[in-house]
Amino acid sequence: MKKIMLLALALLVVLATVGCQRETTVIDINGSDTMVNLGAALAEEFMKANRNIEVVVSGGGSGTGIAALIDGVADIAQSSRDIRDSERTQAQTRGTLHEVIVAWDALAIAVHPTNPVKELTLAQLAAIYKGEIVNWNEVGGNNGPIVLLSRDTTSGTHVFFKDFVLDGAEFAPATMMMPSTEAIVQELAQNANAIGYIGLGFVRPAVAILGIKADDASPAVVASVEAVFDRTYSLARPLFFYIIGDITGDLKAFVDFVVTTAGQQIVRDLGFVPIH
Amino acid sequence: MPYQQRLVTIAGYTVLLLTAAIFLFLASQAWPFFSQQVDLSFFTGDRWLPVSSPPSFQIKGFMVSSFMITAMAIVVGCPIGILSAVSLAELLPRRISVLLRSVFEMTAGIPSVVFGFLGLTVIAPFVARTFNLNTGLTGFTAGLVLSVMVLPTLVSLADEALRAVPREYAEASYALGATRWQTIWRVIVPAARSGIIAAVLLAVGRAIGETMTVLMVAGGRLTTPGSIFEPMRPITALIAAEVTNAARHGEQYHALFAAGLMLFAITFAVNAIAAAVIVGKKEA
Amino acid sequence: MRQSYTLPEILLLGALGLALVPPLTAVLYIFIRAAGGISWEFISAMPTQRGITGGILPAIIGTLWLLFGVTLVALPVGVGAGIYLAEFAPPNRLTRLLEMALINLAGVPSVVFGLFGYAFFVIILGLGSSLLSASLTLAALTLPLVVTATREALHDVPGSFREAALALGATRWQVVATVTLPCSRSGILTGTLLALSRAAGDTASILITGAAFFLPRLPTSFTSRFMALPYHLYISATQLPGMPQERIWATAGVLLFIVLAMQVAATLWRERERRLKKW
Repeated sequence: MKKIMLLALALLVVLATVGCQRETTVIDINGSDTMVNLGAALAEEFMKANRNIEVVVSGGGSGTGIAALIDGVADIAQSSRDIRDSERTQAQTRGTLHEVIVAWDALAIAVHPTNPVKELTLAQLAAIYKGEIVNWNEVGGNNGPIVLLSRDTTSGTHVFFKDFVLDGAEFAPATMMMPSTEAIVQELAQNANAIGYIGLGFVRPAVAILGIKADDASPAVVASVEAVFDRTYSLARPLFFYIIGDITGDLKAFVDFVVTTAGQQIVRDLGFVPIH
Repeated sequence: MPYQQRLVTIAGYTVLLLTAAIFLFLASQAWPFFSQQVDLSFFTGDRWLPVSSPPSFQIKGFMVSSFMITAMAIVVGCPIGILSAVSLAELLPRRISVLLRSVFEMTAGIPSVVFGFLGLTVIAPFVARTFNLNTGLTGFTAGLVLSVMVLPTLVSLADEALRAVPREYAEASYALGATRWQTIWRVIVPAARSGIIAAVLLAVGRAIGETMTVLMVAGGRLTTPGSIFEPMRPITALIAAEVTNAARHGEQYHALFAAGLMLFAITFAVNAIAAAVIVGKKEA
Repeated sequence: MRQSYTLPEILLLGALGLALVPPLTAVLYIFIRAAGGISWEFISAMPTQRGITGGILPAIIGTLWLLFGVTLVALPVGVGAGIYLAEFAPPNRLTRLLEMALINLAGVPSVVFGLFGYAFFVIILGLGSSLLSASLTLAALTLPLVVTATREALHDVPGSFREAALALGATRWQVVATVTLPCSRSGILTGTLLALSRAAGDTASILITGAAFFLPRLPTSFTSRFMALPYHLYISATQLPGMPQERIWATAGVLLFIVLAMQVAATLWRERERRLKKW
């Protein structure tokens, strides 16, 4: 008998807490690991000024975000790649799909600081990642096997790299899929033979970035905000917010915040390229 | 039947319901995949290319990885585990062994993400330096950490099996003039054999199902590994890394559930064998 | 009686040492390195700058909420099921099926629970990524542990107690309610506490059902989004650039401390009860 009473009491407590919610709006942001820090920083700043709005940020990859958006589990999907046609069709069954570019990201090619190789052509980069070039000495470096680091298969960054650099070809079978960009950076920092592609926002002194040449004749361009602005760095891609349905109320307030100077300053602070 | 009895009966069957629900649910989400892909290449090929056109979903690489890492964990863990259990059950005074049993029980509860973190920051660089590898994120590192993780389970269960051997066996052995060493290895351990086998099998099940540690340290290569010293990705890590990313109701999503179903089936088989071994012993 | 060991036996004991040393050094090492990052602010403040500064309070509170939810669900169902299996289940095929199901449930990897929880609780039942979905998923994972603990505790009660009660005219249920259950109560509770300590550390299932990457707010109800310690440790170690190492160690230390504290408490309680019991 006592157990039943306790159980009933507990259930009451649960129901009470469920019902007694503060009048807060929750904005659920889900998606790209490239963008998750940016999203969190934007959320943090926005919430300081809007105490009654809760902006929750989760990562998992661009694919997760879009899937969550389609399922109605997320309000905003952060994506570092274009939404695919199949995803677009699924999304549009729930409402109008909006695509907002919130920043640009330069994809830097990074190696260990002691690696003597300082620049690569796009063709060499592609050959390396396809597994056709396997030793550093083939591109002017020391004798050592090239350890390929990549983001996981459903990362938007992975898809972008595959489409843009590899031209749709497959990654070399020996490629190591790391769970996040930060994981790539960590491995790069301690592996003299590794190479990886990382968003500009993740570059730090522990790794060195290579200059990229469009072809043998072109100058090597190192990833930077300026290089993206003046279009000299080709490995750049837009970062999106995908939203289904009308953008009104608190959601609109947040999106507006992101594209204004205040939000874009945060974009810049985190190492991404602002949209203007 | 008083209502309370009815309630606990319902509670009992909830367990059955839950297990059935998990199986049915996995099967239902995996079915769309199996109904399309009817050939064995799912198991025999190792091209896992979810974002290519056309995509390809073959899990041989992951199954081999799971097998290699589990095998290593068991190969390293078994001898140490069984010998430790023997020490615990036969050689130590009761008060010390009671204390150590509690210690083992507690180490069994250390979260796997903590082991994964240690593996990442401490073990992997060590392995890379010691074996002169390209990277420390390999199946070897994962197997090593995993062996530490399954030891408590292995030791506890083997210890229980050894203690379940009736004391008369040992007493008879001593009465016949055997030494302690002889009694242990010729009488007690053989008598506990099926319990020890069951303990090993359950440890295997635990190792196969481990996710966080292998996700963090095994290396993430999607193809069939050539040796334990290469980066690899077992089935559990595959699921954890990709399932939330996969477009709902897309092919990749269903393929991952198919892999999850495989995992469920394998652990089911291992557990069933372990249970059969235990039951077989009871009836003996 | 002094023990004296032969040389081979010493080697056996060496194996035991080998089994104990890694986890114990691991725990010690973590606590030592965690000491550098722990501060009152760390455990009581909200995270700032995506978690690079500030504290981890929401993760701690989130984990506590999860444990509360798990207890609410897994305790009644698990204890009930344990009582059924230990006291009432008839020895027939259906019960054998139930036993098999239990063994299998115990062996299901947590990532599979996460899959199930995501598609069933989050999507099909529409509970979304919330404490509710995650708690239910964790409860499913913890259930077999609670059932087993209950069964063992009930098993420990001598048969003579039951027989005496029956002889005095009690019904089967009355025997359980007035004799068996009270005698095994502490065993059940300590077993549940141990089961909860496993739930506190699980990552794979909450990773999939919606632990948040960053949420500097405390959960207000079961429908809230949440942060949780094990997931926070995972992303601190693998996804936050610029995260100072001491903070990651400190997070690991806090998680480990909570888990071990629960286990030590349960173990000490159990040993005390065992000594007090006269059977």
